[in-house]
Amino acid sequence: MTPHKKIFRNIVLFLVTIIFCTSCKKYLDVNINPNGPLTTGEKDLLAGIEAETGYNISGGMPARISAMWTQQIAYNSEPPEWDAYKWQPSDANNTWSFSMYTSILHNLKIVRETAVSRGNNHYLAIAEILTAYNLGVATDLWGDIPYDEAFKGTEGLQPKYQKQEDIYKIIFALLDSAISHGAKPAGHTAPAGGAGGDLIYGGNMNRWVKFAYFLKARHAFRLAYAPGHDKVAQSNIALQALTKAFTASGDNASFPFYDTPGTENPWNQAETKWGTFVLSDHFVKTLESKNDPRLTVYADPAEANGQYEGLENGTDPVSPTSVSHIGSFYLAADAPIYLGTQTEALFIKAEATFYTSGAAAALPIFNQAVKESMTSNGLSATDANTYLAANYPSFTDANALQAILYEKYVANYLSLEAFNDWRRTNIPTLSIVQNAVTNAIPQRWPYPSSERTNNPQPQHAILVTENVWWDTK
Amino acid sequence: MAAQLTAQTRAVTGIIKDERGDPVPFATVTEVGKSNAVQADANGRFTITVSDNAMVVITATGFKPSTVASKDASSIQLLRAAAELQEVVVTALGIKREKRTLTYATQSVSGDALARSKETNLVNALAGKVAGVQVSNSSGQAGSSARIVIRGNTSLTGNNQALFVIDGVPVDNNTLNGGQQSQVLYGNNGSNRIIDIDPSIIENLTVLRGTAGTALYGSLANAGVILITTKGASVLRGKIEPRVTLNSGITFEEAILPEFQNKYTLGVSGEYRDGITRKASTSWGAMVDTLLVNGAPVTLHDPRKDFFRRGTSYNNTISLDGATENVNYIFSYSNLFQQGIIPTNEFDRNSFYFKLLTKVSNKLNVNTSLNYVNSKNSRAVEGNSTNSYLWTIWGAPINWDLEPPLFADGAQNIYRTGRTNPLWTVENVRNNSKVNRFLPNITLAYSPSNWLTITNRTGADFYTDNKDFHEAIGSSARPAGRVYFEDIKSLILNNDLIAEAKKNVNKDLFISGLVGANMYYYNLVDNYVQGDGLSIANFYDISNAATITSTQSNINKRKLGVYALATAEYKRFLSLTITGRNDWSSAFYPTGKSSYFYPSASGAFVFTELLPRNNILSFGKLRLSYAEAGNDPPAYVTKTYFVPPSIGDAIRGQIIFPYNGVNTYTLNNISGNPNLKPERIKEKEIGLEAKLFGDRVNVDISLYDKKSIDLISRPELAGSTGFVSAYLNTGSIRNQGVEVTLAGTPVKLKDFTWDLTINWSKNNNKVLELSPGVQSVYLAGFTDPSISIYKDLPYGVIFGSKYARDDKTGEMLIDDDGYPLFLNDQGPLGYIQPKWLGGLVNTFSYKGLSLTAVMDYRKGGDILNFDNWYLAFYGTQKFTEDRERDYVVPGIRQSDGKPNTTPISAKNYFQTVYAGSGFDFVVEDGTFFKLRELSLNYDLPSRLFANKFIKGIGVTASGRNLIIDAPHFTGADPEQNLFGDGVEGLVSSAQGFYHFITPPTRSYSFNLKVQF
Repeated sequence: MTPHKKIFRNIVLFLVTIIFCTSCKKYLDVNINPNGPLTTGEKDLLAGIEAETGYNISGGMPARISAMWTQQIAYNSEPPEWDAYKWQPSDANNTWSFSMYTSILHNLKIVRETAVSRGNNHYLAIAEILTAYNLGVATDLWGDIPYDEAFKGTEGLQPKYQKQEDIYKIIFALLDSAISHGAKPAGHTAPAGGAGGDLIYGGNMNRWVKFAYFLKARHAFRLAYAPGHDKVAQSNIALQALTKAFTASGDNASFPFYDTPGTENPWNQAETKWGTFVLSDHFVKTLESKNDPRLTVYADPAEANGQYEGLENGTDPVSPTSVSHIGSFYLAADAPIYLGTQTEALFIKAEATFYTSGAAAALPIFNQAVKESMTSNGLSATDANTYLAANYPSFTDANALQAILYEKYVANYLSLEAFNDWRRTNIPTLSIVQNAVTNAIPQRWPYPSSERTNNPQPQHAILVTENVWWDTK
Repeated sequence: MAAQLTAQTRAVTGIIKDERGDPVPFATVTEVGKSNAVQADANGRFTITVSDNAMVVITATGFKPSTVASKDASSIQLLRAAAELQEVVVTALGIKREKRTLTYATQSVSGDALARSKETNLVNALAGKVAGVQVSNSSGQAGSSARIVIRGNTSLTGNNQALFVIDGVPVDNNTLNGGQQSQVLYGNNGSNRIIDIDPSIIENLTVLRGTAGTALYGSLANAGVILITTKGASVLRGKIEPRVTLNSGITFEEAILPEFQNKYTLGVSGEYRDGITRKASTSWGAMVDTLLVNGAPVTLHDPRKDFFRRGTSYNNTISLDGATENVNYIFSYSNLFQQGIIPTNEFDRNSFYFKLLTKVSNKLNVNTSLNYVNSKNSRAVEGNSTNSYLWTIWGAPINWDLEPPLFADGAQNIYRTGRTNPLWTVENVRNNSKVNRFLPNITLAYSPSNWLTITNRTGADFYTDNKDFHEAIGSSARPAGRVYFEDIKSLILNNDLIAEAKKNVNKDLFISGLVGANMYYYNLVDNYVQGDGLSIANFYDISNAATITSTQSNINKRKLGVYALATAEYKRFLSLTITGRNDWSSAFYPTGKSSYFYPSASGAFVFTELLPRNNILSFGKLRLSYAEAGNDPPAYVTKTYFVPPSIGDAIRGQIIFPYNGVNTYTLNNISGNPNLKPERIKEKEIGLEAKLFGDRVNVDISLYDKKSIDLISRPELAGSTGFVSAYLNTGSIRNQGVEVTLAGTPVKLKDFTWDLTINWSKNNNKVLELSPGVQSVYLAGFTDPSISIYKDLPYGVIFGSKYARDDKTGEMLIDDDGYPLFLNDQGPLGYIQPKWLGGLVNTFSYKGLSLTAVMDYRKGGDILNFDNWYLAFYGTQKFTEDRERDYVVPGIRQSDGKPNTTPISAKNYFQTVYAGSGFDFVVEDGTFFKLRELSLNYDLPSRLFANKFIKGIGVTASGRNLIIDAPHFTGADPEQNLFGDGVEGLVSSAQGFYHFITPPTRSYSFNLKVQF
């Protein structure tokens, strides 16, 4: 072979080697981000999930909208605004796409899968309970929602929606599973607070299981008037569950906030950074008419005249000094946000007892519920007794329901449950506000923009004024 | 004597050179009348065995054939064919091709032309000089970045800018903006890294516009290639006396300002305020002509003139070049020190460069070069932040003195609340960047035989960028102060191994081919630490911060490629080129298919070879090509990682982790995609080149149709998928257009010539597809207004709130009070793409004197002049001066459909309508004419320097940006953009957003060149 040919052959061999060499694969296999973890433990995700739940769900827009549409608070800006029902698909999208389905439910699915693979029964129980809680909020707001086909990313770009009835079955299944997992030993790693990620109960499984029973009661009772359900039967299920739920306010499920930048309570942040929520005239007048001492905790007197003044929902804005703002008890930077309370448990018990056993049996529980509401607001049992004696001289089968649900509405100040109970029972009576953009008070949230654009479903045509499945009133 | 039955033969050895004494490589030596031929080597040497007394013909591309007696063949000189003088073009991979048979569009600019433009940033030096190229500037601050796009935007999320290649090695032109700030609020504070390259080391710059010309460079070159050849001879030509060249220049620049009204003072409702005891943000005060304060008229100031200073820059270069028998060398050092038009803005660049071409043996040449650059930049904040000095300077009233920055008691001297004095601001809120950059290049060229050359080119681009930023205590955006430090290390390594062969098969057919392999390595490390809440004033160290956050990133991307090219040329009038390249990229790992292949085919037909010779058309060539290119995704997008959470609630609240000491992660809500495919570009091009009237006129026309498909973008997903968005191959864009270059010499006399080059181009861009069901992708800006991409519209739509219009006529609907109706509608307000671009370069030379003028024109291209939305409200813009009369908003009354006649006061017109809920009034047409450069150069006659120590002296006086005429634009310059440039990304492609940006400058330079 001539020297030239030899050189040429060597060159070709070198190039061919480059094409087929396996060391090339090693050279190219560097596409893993060294600064991004690919796997995490349950504790690494739990704190963020709980923070999103506390800040953006229990204390976020679902609670703010509930308080406005049930006319507890008003929006102090040029109408129409959120309290005149101007709540668009793009607004709903923040809660659905950035909190509920991504930060919360998708990450909870990962926690459940991780807990199953490691045999961590207690982390699994916590994840199941939080999934049930959030799924409950989502279906109560939107009705039919996707779940089984969701969380598949690019492999499932258009998840089908399931009926609310089926979502409720999933919620109950999750809660029962959580209860059974909570009864088993913790497994490899027991949940804990702090670095353990559980900022709600600090890893206390007794309380988590009580919360699971509480959620069972709440959701079973939500179905009291649902199609194919009977209020007495649902009441019995709820009462049964409540025997294992909260026993005192110390069991309340809450997310903590702190007085440092970036850790403040959502109502506090809304007041300092957005500043448009004030008391509703309807709420102030209603509480004043009953001499309700809770008004002094729920609201601060207006700066201008020292009186309690509310803004009528849907009307022109007023100077912030001429109207009452939310009370400092609720605006404190370190005020916690509740996912479930003993107060609500007692109101469920009162209403359920009324359906199963009548007003006389329900009365003591009703009184206990109102007292619990008062004391949890820093008032005394005496204040409660005075209030009850003045406003409820008689408690009969004819007026018991009105009493229970009105008091529950007042007790559920700034809670998203107020909207749920109002929808279910139509108590208290609310009239449509001025400058409303809909022709009736909405009974649900609009489906979000990201779903309408990218996952069109027949449910998207439902108007916001149409009731969800369990709401037959 | 019997007839010679066996002719005597003898060996003839010789060397072939051109008229400059440079060897002519690979010439063919043929014995006349026989088929006996040999090819000379790379250094022009040959040996041929011929019969006694034979004649030999020497032919070479670009030269006139020469026939000599073999006994005179020891030293042959070839003359260049006149029409093809200097028509050798450097193409991809450093391969020289004769322009005559080149099958794709190229255009060249000389290094001297680039240096003469006196632009600090090389990208800006190209404006107006090349057809089909759109150059846009960001800010007038020294060190700011510029952008270059060839043949329109082709990618959605990827880089749309051309690739810069220096001596065959791709270099980094990224812009890394410091910190985590949004560009709409803080402006773009990075520089595109080509700014490190000193134009004085450039010999020649060639633009390869089409994909056909760049298929050999791989994915980086999808948007075109700019090939730079640095100074230093590429061919060994024996001993040359060393020569020292000194260049020294000084440039003065001044701001080009928009116009401001000078009749009304600070105040509201016609009432005067002094800005010290009584403040206001608007200039709707009293008329200065009639105003008396304490019996005297107020002292007037021009805050713009008072603030902007004259900028000065000093540019000095010294170089030494020469050659020994075996080594060509060039060494150069240059320093640019630029003080910009705003106080504290500086750019300082030191550049060392050397290149050695060494002949190791007859077969082996080694070329070594190193460019070391040290760049330092200090810049003020721009954009929509309250720390942006533009806000207070553009809004400043004419009765306010901006000196001193602080009063004796330490209070800010500022005419309005919520801001700080602009002199104080630029001193106390600053971005700094220090870059050290090394660009080494080692090329070995080995020619074992006449027809084969093996080249190995190894190049690197390594730089460190130390950025720091401080915001002093008391600044208006962040009164507690902030400091950040960012350390960036970027490394590119590139190696090409090429085997190239060429052969004259016979006297009509020439074939050549090459096979190559490429290795590419990229690594970017970025460590960032930010401190908020400073304690000690004027002390900018991380220890001084109350809250410290930091991030790290480490990006790796590697590629391997193999490529081949084959060319056949027949009788020098027909040529065909075929290329193929296969790349493997790390960006598809670990699970995707990492290999992608893209071919091209092109042909050229010199049809004048078939026509009889005539005086009108001396050269005509038709070019045809089809080429594909592929592109890989960004690094790390094939998997979904966990990230620190960012919890907010859309009403400005947020939760920050670590939360009370607890850390957490969340799954990234942008899904990675393990099955990403490469992006693809397919381009068809047809071209015509002609030389007319004895080479006095050159025409070059190209028509192209370029379609990019499978473009990677991050469209929105339905939230129930568990993600907010994902990386998907869903986009497609089409660019169709035409480029025309007309060059000629209208006047050619003995001592005087006039050369003229006209460039004209038109690009029609359309975004065909974004993603199923997705109508738009937001690029940058505010939520409203924004620059976005819309399906079925050209790339770049100004989108936002607009006033209601009549469906049929498009006229604005006006209510009965004379105000336009605003119904919360949003829609397209303007389109960024220009209609066409044109450039004109005129050179007049008389003996040693030459005058060059570079002009360019842009027709169309809308700009969002967001400054006006503020300045109309403030009443400082010139057009608000006419305010003693009423205004009638043009449109039709909604109630009765008749033209609106209801007048409204000037104040209401400007504050409520012009700067109102709809942004219709602040979108302006960006048509402009610019006289970019006018330079007069005089080289003293060489006869003065015969046998003297000094060999030459030249002086140049030039002006830059002498005329900017934008008839519909009321800002300073319609080419400016707040977003400048950006790393691979959406934001950098968002042009047309003119807002609170340092104005451009007009400059005057004087330069002296001395050669020893």
